[in-house]
Amino acid sequence: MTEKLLEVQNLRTHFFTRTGVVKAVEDVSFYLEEGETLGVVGESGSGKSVTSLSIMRLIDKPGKIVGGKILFKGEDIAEMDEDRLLQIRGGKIAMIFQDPMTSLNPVLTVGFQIAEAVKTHLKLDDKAAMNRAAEMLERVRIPEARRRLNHYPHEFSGGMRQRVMIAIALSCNPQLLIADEPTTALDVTIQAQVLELIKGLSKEFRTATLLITHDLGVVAGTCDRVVVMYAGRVVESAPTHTLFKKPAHPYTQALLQAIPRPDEPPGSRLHAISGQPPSLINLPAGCPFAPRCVKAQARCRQELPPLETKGAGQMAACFYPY
Amino acid sequence: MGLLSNLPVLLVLLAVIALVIYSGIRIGPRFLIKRLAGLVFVLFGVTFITFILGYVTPGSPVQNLCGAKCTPSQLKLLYHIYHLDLPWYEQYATFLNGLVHFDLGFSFTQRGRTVWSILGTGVPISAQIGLSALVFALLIGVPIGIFAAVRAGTKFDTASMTVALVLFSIPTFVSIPIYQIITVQLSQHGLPHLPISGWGDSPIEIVAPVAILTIVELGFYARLMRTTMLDVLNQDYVRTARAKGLSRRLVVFRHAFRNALVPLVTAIGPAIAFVVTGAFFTELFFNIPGIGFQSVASIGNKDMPVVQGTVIIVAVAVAVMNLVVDMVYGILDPRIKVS
Ligand SMILES: Nc1ncnc2c1ncn2[C@@H]1O[C@H](COP(=O)(O)OP(=O)(O)OP(=O)(O)O)[C@@H](O)[C@H]1O
Ligand SMILES: [Mg+2]
Repeated sequence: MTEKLLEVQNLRTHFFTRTGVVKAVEDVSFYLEEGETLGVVGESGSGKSVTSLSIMRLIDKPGKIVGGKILFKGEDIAEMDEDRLLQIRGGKIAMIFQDPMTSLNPVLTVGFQIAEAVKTHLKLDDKAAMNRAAEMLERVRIPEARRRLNHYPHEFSGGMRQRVMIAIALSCNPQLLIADEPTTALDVTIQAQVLELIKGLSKEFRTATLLITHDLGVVAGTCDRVVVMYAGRVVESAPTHTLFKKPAHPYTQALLQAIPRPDEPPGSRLHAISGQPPSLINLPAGCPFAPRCVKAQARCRQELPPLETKGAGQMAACFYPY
Repeated sequence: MGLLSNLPVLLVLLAVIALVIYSGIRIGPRFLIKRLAGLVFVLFGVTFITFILGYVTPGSPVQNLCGAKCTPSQLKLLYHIYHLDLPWYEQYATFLNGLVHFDLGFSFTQRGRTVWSILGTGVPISAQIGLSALVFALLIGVPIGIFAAVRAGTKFDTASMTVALVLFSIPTFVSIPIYQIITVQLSQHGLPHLPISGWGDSPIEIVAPVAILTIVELGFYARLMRTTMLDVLNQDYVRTARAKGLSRRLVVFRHAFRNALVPLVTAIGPAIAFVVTGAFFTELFFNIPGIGFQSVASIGNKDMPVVQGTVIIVAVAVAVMNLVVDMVYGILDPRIKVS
């Protein structure tokens, strides 16, 4: 078996707040092969961002990685010292965030913010770094790239700023790109363009991508495999086509039914999932989805279903799948 | 004393001039001209208000000056010297005319002294003390605030911010007597100590008043810096900077600190301006002939020309510093568009 690019094993990240311990990520495991695109989906608050920030070791107090391993090419990021971590961040694993309006430093030029990353990881001099920055702006299709280097973030639109973020992220040829809802904050018309760009460039740069989204429609056209998260846990993981054709977990099924479909007559009702996700401070015993699950049995409320193989490449945490 | 003790004043002056030139080039001369025109307008208003205040103040100001055995002819002469025999608009015109020639007239209470000479001796002393204190407070307070923000929630943070709050809250009219009592004790036991008070005999006399003022301001700037840095450190772009793999130092100083400068400059601008009003209690207790002491005394004596002079100087200082602050904003924050 070849070594995985990234292998997250039993990751647990908790927030020690005044009101209690928020178990934002609890026993999460998944992996990514080189060059692969993995989607992570789940409702708001299911722990997607905390998982990705944990991989970057960007979890701040009161949060803490309390257990598990984050193996990046065999090295455990969870145990890494600060110096090695600085080499990994931006150099080997890069990240794009949700809100491009606030993710760039308002007082530094766009060129500087790209060149800075390049200088840190590729050890180029100022001039070479600026050239690289211009090249990156071109590759994310920002017109008049060279002139735009000296512009400040406020002189760019939201979509353009997200392109700049992509340019920064890919400027040092990372092996893994984490994109945390990169299109959520953008206009619908721009979303598709930015997504295409990420797709195209990650292929060009041979970068594996961890694409976080709450939009299964995005996953369908982009990802090789999908991980579904619920209440800080992985409830299902499967190749994308399997997931869409034969979802194992009732939560995945409910998510799929919530997607508006073009073949349904307009005006027909969307199947929203009734109920609220549980509080992450006092998780009930048993399956966290049981209170909202249409198939739940007595056993589901007492015992936590383990994540088990249900089919080819498909795993689910459910006693009564399909 | 001499050059060395005036160094802070000189440095600030040089910095202001350099800034005006730099921002004139960077944000454009049109902005500068517009603001300078506004400044003239504001000053015109301030002079008018101060003049009217002096004009309507009840009681004859020169009566006291003339003394008990005042003859009507003497009084008439004094009225003439102070231009009080003219109608108000002519008085105002004379007042303005004097102003543009840096002539603020004579003091009502200090016989034969011009207002300009009173301000001219008081203001530099106060400015020297005030600016020195400000510089030290920033040099010490800002790094403490940054460090506390970076280490938010640690013992250093809690301890330093508690101390800062205490320092900031103790009024100088309490801390100075305490200092003086300790100094007296030290001198009685033959231990080395600083002068209790005084001015003009030895350069070491400046240490205690500057230290007292530094302590108060230090508490303020440390807390201000911590609050703004903490806010900035939680911004998304700081997370982006960290995700790039930048060292902690670069993240804090290059990405966070520059964004935290705007609130700091907002506070420092007026602080520099109000240096010219002097520090009343400090000057009183340390027996320093600064402007703070003089101006409060002149209000008590109804010495209107001196009061007017002080108000105008403060107005000029505030207006100039506002302009400077605006220019610094323009330099610090590229989003501020000056058309
Ligand atoms: N700093 C924090 N302190 C306390 N709790 C936190 C903190 N950050 C995140 N959490 C909690 O962790 C849980 C998971 O949050 P996370 O941001 O990972 O959700 P998400 O899946 O990314 O949701 P979204 O789709 O809204 O981005 C949430 O319940 C949140 O309240
Ligand atoms: Mg999120």
